[in-house]
Amino acid sequence: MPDDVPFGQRVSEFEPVTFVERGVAVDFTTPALTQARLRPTPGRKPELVVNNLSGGRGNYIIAWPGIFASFSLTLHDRLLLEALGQLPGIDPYVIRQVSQTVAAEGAAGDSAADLAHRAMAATRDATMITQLMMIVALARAAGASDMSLEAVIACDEVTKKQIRATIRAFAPAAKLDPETIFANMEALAEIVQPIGFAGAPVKGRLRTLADGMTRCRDEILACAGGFGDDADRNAAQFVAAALDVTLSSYRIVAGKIDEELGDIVRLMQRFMREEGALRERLTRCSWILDGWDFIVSLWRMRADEPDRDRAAAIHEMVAYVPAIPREVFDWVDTGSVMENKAWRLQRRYVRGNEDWRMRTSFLEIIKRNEDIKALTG
Amino acid sequence: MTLAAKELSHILRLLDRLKDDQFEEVLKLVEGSLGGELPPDVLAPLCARMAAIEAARAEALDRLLAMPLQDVVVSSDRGYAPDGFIPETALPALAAIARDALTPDERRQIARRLLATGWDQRAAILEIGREVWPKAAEAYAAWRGPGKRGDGGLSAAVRTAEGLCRVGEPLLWMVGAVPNGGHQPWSERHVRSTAGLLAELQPAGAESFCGAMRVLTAHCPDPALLIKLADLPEMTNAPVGRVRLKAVIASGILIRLERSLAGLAAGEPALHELAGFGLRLRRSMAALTAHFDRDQKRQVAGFLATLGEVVRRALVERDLATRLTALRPEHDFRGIEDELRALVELRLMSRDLGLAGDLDKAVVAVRNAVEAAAGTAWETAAAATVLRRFFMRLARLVELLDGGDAALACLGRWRAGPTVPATAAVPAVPPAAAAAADRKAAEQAILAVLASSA
Repeated sequence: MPDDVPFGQRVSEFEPVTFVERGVAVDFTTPALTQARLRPTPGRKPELVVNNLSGGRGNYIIAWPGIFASFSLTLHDRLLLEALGQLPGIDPYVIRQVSQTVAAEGAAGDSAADLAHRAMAATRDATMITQLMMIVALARAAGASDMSLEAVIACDEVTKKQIRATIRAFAPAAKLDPETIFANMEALAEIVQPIGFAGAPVKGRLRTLADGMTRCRDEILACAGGFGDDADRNAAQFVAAALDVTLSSYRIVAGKIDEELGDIVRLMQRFMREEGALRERLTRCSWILDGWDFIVSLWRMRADEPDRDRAAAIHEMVAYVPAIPREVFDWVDTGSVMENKAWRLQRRYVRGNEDWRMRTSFLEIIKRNEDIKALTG
Repeated sequence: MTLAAKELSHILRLLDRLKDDQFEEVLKLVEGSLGGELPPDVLAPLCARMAAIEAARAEALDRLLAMPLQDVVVSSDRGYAPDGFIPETALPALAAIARDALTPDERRQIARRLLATGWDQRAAILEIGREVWPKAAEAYAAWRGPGKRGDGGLSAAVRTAEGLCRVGEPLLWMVGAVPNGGHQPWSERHVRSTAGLLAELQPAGAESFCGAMRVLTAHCPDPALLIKLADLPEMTNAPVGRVRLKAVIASGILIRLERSLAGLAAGEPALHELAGFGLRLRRSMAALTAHFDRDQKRQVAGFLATLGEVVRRALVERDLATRLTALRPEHDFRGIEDELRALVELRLMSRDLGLAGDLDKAVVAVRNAVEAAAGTAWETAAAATVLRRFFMRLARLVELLDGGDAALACLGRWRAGPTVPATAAVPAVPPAAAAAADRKAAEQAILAVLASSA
């Protein structure tokens, strides 16, 4: 921890220790709740972590009943909260599914509904591709070295029989139950699909998001060179540094996941023995990148504007940069360099959302949030 | 000398491939070698191309000369331009004066560079302008017209043009550095940085300085920030006092409002355009009423009356309520949502301006029309999923008008089953007879607004 900042000053700041404590960013369209984070509470309904409403530093923690009493919610957010209130647990994948279901009803407008339908179809496709890749990997491990994804996709009777026979013959030696393999394959594919296999014909959503974040970081740094104002430059450097830390953590964790996915037999064995722990490890990238799709979309929406006009976007992005929980150091396990970097980042001054001072109308912000929903799905 | 058709077409094809400069050189050489005589069948297409080159060069040069003036040029439909502004009809005369300050060689050189540069390369264009605008300013200063009465306002335009051309390059750098009033609004920070840029123009004198401030009124959407700018310490050494500076801001803003309103009144404005104008007017009144003289206050009262009329006319023409009553599940709602959003913005703005009467009625009518559309939806033979989506879209319209709570309540009610259509409750937009009484009420409200903000 740096010496120049007394610990007591940071107590009031939102510095979560774990990702669950940080919560999951929700695509609310109500301006005050933009990218508010939902997190579980023991024995009660979840609570919301909301950015300081005045645009200054700090956050508000709003208990469930208070959300409805304190904010003038949009129709979309009321329906979304109704659905979120029914959830037994909270993680980025589940929140995304619920959010897509509500958006698909049309509550955030027709564009967002169309995109939600497409995103849900893409998720189904990704799950299918992941499952097929697992079958190919398993068949190869069982000795069918000529098995290809194309053959599995074509799925003719001969291939089906060959796969079944190979896996049935191989299962006892690998200490796997053939029926359980087929039953678990779908569940495992659903967990893995957000990141997907490294060599999948279609990149996983999180891998695509990470690519987008890398581009965003490069563009921000290129843009920052042209800013005449120190405040703009500092804000740009802050976002770029946050992207750096997040992407470094993501790459390390994604590398570990790729290693696990590389040995399909062990993966299946582990899934049968320790499903909960494996699920936790395989979904870490979702937690690390959570909230960044909104921030990257804010940047993409200004892609065609001159650099000086993109400074405003950067200041808004600063307000939504997620805090990095200490738990990430357990996940990446790379020692103190990254830890120091992350802590330095968190104690920087964070400029808040300036909209209230700009007199930007709430309707415009709701429309903007819906447009982003139509971009990100 | 005559050429065979094949040879002629070959030569013309070769010439066609040349760049303008090369083409001109070749033409000179050929003309020289032939003693100035070219066969008519060759001359005709070459003359046409030469004329096009000359025209493009003249146009580029005129555009460059007019660059520092572009934000104070006003259309000449009212026959005069206010002080500090330039009627567009004066531009050819101004360009002619400035062109005369350059030798033919200079003109050709500059035009060539402009055509080779491209207008999107702002820095390069300003570099060229830096050589031209001071000469133009000198030409305007030296110009002696036929006198104030006889020149139709050209003397005033020349004076304004001189002031702006004198600071052409720094002025355009400043305009390029300030937000464009689009996505990124001005902030306090921009006011401070603009003050620094503006301070550099102070040595150029009062005309240039006031001209630059008028130019800024075209770029800053909130006049309150310009008033703040005039109050900053950097303006202490300005060549004009703060009171005059604020008067320049007030008159500049009023001219722009007047022109915008005239455009809206002459056309068929969309509701969001009216809402945008109303917002500008409200901001201007809030920031500038203290700096308006009596005539300007009367002018603003006129704006409000005209805006009220235009809004009333737009509501009748759009007839949103009738269109909404006819909404069916297969319709596209995107345009309707935008119109309703604009209607709500317009009503919010109108409350501050004392024009809300018609808009309140229009919103009630629209709300009832949405209920009516929902009430008759069950009569259509649409599938349950289609109806479900339709009710959601209608609920979004209610949300825009009345908020999320009301929308959720409507959604639950509509989805529960058929209801009695609410068409009987749809009030019409006020007819012409009632409009006169509304106008009177609006005028009284306007006077009250002006009295309270004075």
